[in-house]
Amino acid sequence: MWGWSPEAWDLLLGGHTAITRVDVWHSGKHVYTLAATGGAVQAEAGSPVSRSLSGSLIDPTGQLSRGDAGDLLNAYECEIAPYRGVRLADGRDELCPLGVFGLTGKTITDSPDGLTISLTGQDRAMGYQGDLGRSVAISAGTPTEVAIRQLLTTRRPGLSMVTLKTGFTCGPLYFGSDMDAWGEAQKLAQSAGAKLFHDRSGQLVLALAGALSDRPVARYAEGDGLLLDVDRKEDSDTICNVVVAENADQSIQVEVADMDPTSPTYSKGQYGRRVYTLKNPYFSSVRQAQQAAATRLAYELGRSETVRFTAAPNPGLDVDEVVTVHRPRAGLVDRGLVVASLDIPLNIVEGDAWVPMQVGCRQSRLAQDGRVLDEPPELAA
Amino acid sequence: MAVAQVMDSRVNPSNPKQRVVLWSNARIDVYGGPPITDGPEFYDRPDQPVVVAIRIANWTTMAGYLLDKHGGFHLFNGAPAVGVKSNVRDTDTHYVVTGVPYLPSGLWYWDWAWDPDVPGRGIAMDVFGNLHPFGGATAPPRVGRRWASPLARKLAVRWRDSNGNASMRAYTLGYDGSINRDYAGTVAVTSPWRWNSDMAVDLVVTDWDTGSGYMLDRNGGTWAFGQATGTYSPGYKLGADVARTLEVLSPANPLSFWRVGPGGQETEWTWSTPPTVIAGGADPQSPAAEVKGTTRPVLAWSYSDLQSDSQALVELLVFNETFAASSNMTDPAKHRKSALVDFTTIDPMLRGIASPVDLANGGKRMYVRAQDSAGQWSPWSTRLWTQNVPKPAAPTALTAVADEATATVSLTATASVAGTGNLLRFEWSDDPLAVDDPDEVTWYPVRTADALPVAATVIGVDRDARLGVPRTYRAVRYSLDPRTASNPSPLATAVISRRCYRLTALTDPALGGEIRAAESLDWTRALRVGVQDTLYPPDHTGVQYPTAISSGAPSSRRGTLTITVQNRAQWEIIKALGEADSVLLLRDPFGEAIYCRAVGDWPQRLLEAQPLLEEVAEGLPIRHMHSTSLPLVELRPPHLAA
Repeated sequence: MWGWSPEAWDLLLGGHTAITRVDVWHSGKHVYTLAATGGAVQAEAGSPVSRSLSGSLIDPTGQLSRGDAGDLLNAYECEIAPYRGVRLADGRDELCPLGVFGLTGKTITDSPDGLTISLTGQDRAMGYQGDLGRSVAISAGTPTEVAIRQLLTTRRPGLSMVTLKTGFTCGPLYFGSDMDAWGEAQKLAQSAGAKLFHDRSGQLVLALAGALSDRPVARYAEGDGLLLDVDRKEDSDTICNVVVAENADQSIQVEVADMDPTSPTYSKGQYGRRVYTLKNPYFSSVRQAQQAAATRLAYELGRSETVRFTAAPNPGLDVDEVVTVHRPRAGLVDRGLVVASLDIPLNIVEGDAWVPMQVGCRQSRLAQDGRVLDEPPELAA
Repeated sequence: MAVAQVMDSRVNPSNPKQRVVLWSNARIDVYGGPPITDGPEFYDRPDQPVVVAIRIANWTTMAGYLLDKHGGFHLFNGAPAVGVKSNVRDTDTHYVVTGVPYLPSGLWYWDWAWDPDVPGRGIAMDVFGNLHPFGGATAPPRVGRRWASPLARKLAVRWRDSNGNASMRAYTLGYDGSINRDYAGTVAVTSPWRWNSDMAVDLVVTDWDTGSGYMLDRNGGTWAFGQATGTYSPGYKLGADVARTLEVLSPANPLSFWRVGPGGQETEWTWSTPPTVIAGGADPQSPAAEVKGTTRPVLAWSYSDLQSDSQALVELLVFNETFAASSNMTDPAKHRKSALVDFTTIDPMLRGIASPVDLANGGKRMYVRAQDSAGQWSPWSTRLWTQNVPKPAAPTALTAVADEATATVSLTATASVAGTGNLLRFEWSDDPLAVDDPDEVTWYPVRTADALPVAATVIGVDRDARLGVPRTYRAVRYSLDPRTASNPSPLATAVISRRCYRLTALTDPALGGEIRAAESLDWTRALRVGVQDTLYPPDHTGVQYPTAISSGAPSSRRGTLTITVQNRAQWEIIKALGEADSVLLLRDPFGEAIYCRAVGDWPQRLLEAQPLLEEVAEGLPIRHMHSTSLPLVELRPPHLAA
């Protein structure tokens, strides 16, 4: 969750004045500000490109000509940085970044009402997608995070990456010049139970896969004035409760299973064994394969319940964060859920209704029954 | 969480270079010591965290213990056994210690603290803040949960005072930054920061006698409490989850810290001394003690730093000395709203700026301070100087005469051609107080009459005056280099009495004139507020209110001006305005002046009527009479432009 001030947070829990802004960057620096009239920022956990943008923009100053807009939004130079936030009681705006996007398409319409700019974009991952351009050799014993950096540097020299210490190594590896830099980097990340993505500020991050928060960052409940509707779906058929992780020649092969006897998908219970095979050529140790398998298992078990809900937008919410949803009639009693997908609208009002955010969730494995943390029995000293 | 991440860290008190980082799957990263060769591993467990805290019993052999979330103790690198060996879970073997109940499922325990001098003695803390002494540790006076929910985040314990006498003190850190004390004698602490969310992650106490230390938040913020020296937070990232543990490597000078993030990312930093800033800079200082040549002197400062940290941020404020002398300027930033100049920069090389505003004559005081790249602020440095720029002679004999036919006001002023100040501007104010107290109202330059060359008689025209509203004028003589301005001339007032609709173009004063509005002009502004009914409990019987979210201020004012054109000449006026591609000025009989653009469709409808005599002479069978509508959108008035 974005670090809102207490004042902004209080406003987001009820009616408020919402603010959006769309900055245009050249070489990472702000050059112009446009206003959004429609569209949304979509985020999806686990997707190769985790954030995408579609939006309708106008020039609020009316100073921009069609030619100016064309130069400003030159797809090879510009990036789009949308923000959404709230107006505080003292008139200040508190804004939260929603990502940094390169352009994949644009339409500039000039009409008597002024310029209307329709954009689609993807986050900075698009800059790494494509051939390596030259072959890359990774020597034996190279930390996995260093190997990822070496691969991506072929597409963007001098890149900045916030990375975890995976504790695992890889190599020797050889990558041909026609291999996809982003795709291989994603596989390397997956081999360590990690994920590679760009955060809301556009920063490239190699982080632990799975939920970003230990505790719910927000609660949506009937009667709170935020929750519009809820749609809950249970899957008791396609969930895999056993993950087998193996490398290319199967010299490393491990199995991780749902071993919780209280879980409905307990691997030794009535549900039976449903196996997902995780193949990754970059497993270099049993531990590494175990960690990747455990990460995948947590994801698989989370699919047993998916919930979609719409609510008043909180642009500070992000994918892979935990929220609770309370709607007993739908079978959700303060249910802990991991946000899997998110649509944050850039337009605030449509007709006479505010535009909600759409949130897709899967079950949280913080506890097997879907609650965030059990209320435990009193501990006796 | 479902995957491994950093849970705890420790530093050898005798050798700060020797450290360990514990991950929730029992991975232990060792820095400066022998590797971990035996011990538990939970890489295959999806229910992370499995282990939550580490204790190094022997820094030479790196033998120690891990606490798992159920209350089990685990040994590594040959640490002596504690408690009773157990394998309640079929996946691991652990030790159960008296005083720390083992609960085989769920997350119960979060931290512990061991007596450094008595093997096997310590206190475990569960997620509710309950303290569980073991190995003969003194039970805390407080029993039971501190929080009803699992919100405890860290435990810090002192076992003995500086003389080695038993003297237990303890603090527990809550998720929101609350610092709570246990055991008699523990000094009460005011939390340096309280959040409304799960933000606090670690706590380090550096002085138990004064209750001082540091608290860490998830964003990487390091907050001093008690009498601890304030520090900065390198890598702090608002809204990001980048920090888990904090260690103070050296509580003395130089104060140094080590922070570990959830992915094992390390950050180590040392407290540095503040930079030195001198307002005015090095010799020759600027502004000089008396400035005669410009109203925008260079405001300079010098910057130096013992650690060679670069200049990261500068704040510069300039006040009238009369204000500064009569105010408490201990922190000038509190008077920011009264500052004549309020400037900040992150340019590391900048050491001065030309004043961005003209400074009137009189005493001025500049305050400047800088923050270095280590986050340290210098004290405020101040410099007093006097602005004493000779003023041009004020214009005289100002006249303002309304022309009812053109709805303009002719302005004339007399000035001496000799002397400084090569330009003259006429200024206006519609404030009725203007005559009574001309210094207390806002004056705006007359459009197109704000930079007239000085002559014996200077003539200007105000084409924007509101109809039926008295407008007050004055004239000011000035120059741009050096920037000087005279006192204002005596005031003059004029009023255009004829109240009607007038539509004129700003780009060409010849375009437009009086028009005949067919019907009253309606202006509308859209209030963009969305309302939605949200979910309520099904059995809710009370009044249900919707939630409203606004998109900000009402949208721009729009209106449609419907005009009846009586003859060809009137049509030509409208046609010229419509084709002018200009900002228009609409003045109405009620004294309002609206700057606008015609936007959208511009219809022309023939109204059937008998031709006028002169039209008959032209051979027209029908009168040149039309109805037309101009859709208008209000724009920012030019005198309010940034």
